[in-house]
Amino acid sequence: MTEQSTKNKTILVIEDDAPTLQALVDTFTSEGFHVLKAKDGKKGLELALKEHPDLVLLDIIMPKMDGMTMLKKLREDEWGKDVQVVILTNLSSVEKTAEALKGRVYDYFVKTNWKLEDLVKRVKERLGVR
Amino acid sequence: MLGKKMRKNIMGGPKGTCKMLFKGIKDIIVILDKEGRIIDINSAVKKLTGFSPKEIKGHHFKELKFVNPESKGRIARYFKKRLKGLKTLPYYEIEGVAKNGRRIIAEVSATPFLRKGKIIGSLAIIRDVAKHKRVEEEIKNYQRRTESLINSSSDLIFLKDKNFRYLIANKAHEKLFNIKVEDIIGKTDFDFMPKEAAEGCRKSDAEALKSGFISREEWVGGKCFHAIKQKVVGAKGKIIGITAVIRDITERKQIEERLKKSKEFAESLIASTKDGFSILDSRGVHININEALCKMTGFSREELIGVGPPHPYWPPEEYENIQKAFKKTLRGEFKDFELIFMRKNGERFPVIVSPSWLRKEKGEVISYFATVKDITERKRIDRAKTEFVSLASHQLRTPLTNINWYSEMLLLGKAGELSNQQIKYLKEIYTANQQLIKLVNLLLNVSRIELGTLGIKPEPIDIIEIANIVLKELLPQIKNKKLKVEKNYSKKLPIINADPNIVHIVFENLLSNAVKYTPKRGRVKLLIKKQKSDVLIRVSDTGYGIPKDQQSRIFTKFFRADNIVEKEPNGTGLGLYIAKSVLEQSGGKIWFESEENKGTTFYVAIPIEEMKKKKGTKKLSI
Repeated sequence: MTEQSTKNKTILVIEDDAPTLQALVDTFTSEGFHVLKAKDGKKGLELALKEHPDLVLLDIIMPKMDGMTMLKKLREDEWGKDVQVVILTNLSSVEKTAEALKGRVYDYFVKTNWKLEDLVKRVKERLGVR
Repeated sequence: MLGKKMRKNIMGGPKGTCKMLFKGIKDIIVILDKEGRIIDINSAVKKLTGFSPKEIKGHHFKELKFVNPESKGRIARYFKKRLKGLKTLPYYEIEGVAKNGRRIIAEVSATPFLRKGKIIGSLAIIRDVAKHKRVEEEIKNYQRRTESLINSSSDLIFLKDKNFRYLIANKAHEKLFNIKVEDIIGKTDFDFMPKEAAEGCRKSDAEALKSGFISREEWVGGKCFHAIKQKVVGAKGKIIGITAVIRDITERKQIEERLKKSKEFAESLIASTKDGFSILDSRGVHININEALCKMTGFSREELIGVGPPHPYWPPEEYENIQKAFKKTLRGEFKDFELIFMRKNGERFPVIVSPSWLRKEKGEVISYFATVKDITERKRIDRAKTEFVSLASHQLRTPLTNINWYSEMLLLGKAGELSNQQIKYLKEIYTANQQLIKLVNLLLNVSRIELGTLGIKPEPIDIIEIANIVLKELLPQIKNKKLKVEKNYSKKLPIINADPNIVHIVFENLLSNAVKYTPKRGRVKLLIKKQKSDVLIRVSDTGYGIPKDQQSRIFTKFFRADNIVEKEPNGTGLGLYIAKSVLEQSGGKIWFESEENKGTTFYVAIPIEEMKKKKGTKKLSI
């Protein structure tokens, strides 16, 4: 498999905590990704359906629309049903994980336990880019 | 033949009556001449002394064969003095021994015969008084015994006449009234008692005299007495007075009062307490229960007393647990047990049962009591607390993530190049934050364990891989302390079915403890080997060890041994608690051996087949 550059890849980050969102946006941008951002599930869904990113980084607890509801709606969309979704949360609940997996989530990360560096590595692996 | 003459004189009389008397009388009759020689003696002498009249006749009275020397002397004096004086003579006593050896006690009286004012002889009558003597002695002994008996009693014993004057009083009076017994006799109570007390005594004496008998308790002068008084009636119905036995029962009364009060107190306590209370016999059958236990369980007294075990409030699925606690109690292990009981409507509720023994006989417990505390509410509060911890921990994680990621970005040079000192400071921030994250994760794990929300998901894992990951994480500390780490893994280790997070947490806790609590240049050994049905993990160190007196508490939440608190102030006291909790919930086991300043060895056994699955909403945070 020929690995592509991050330049062609778009990532949508949906996260309600502004500093966390900023850290993710800055990191993935500096890695060469095209990064889109949304501060709640509702805006995130709109943006996703409009921009069709290659991967969605999704928080769970958010105002207006939480991550799980957003994911459910995303999977109802013809494009959205196959897009790669990585859950990034500070909840470590089995129930939520199970729910997330039903929504065909590819990774489930507890934010505090992950370095940005490792997170980038995993996302790159998912997208098959260097 | 003076004797014969005199005998005739004496024996003469109307129609030989004297003769008949002489022969037939039981007393010994002796006729003596004026010197005291025996002229005649009747046959009664044979019966008393065994000597026949023939053997005695002609002898001097003072030489009578059956008389003791001492008595002989008395007789001699008698003849010397008394006979000369012509007086009417009193009885005197002689003692002697019969032919057959029997002791003789007799009374002698003598009357002189006079003719023309001169003594011509005398008549002596000897009467056997041995029997009287015995009776007399017996009476004296009896009196002495009775006297010592009544004097040895601490009860007041007295006899009063019908005018309430003391005829007899025992020594007990001396102690109570501080007066000599001799000084009481002839007196009334009014002569030596305070007026009020005397009046009380007089009243009851008068009643006894009137009714014949009283037995009752009386308070006199601040003391309580039990008095039994009885009218004494002599021959022909003559009233002599009253006797009484009076016992000071003040102390007993006070003890009774105190007992009564403490019994009432205990009863009201048991009745009013919200905790259930039951008394059980040695088999565990209810003998008694309080209202609270009925209320708590919903069963009536009738449904519980005489029943069990199993008791109606034991849920069938908890029989095993409760029986275990029950057996421990019967073995004499009295400690609190946290159990699940069942109300009549089927509702399960948590309780703490505290058993203890109530009565022992010959070292055997014959009854128990147990308090039962319904801890539903306490559990609810505990739950709320744990949920709060869980929620708070989640909220904590958001800023922790930011500190983490921003320091990481700075360290990666994402905001431009940093000076060495800036890097050094940032690393401190980053490390401190990592510690904080760890602590939050620990607290979350505790809350999961305690909420019962911890899920266990066994999957095939390579146990060595997890061990090596953990050791790698600990490498900086190991190098820093120049510790020697020895790994000993058996070659044919199977792939086991276990929850990787649990295994990770167990390794992390045991290995990080070993590294943390072993001084520089010490040794840490990790052994992993297959046993029959489980994999054994052994982590041993040459560290500070666990003091013996604290070993029993080592798995207790937040507990840290004294010796390591001094050396390593950083530590939560949660690691081993979590390790033990998760292992036990998943079917594993953990135990240890330790000696202070020599080292500690922890053992963990994880079943090969499969860890116990457990539905739960939370995973362990590692």
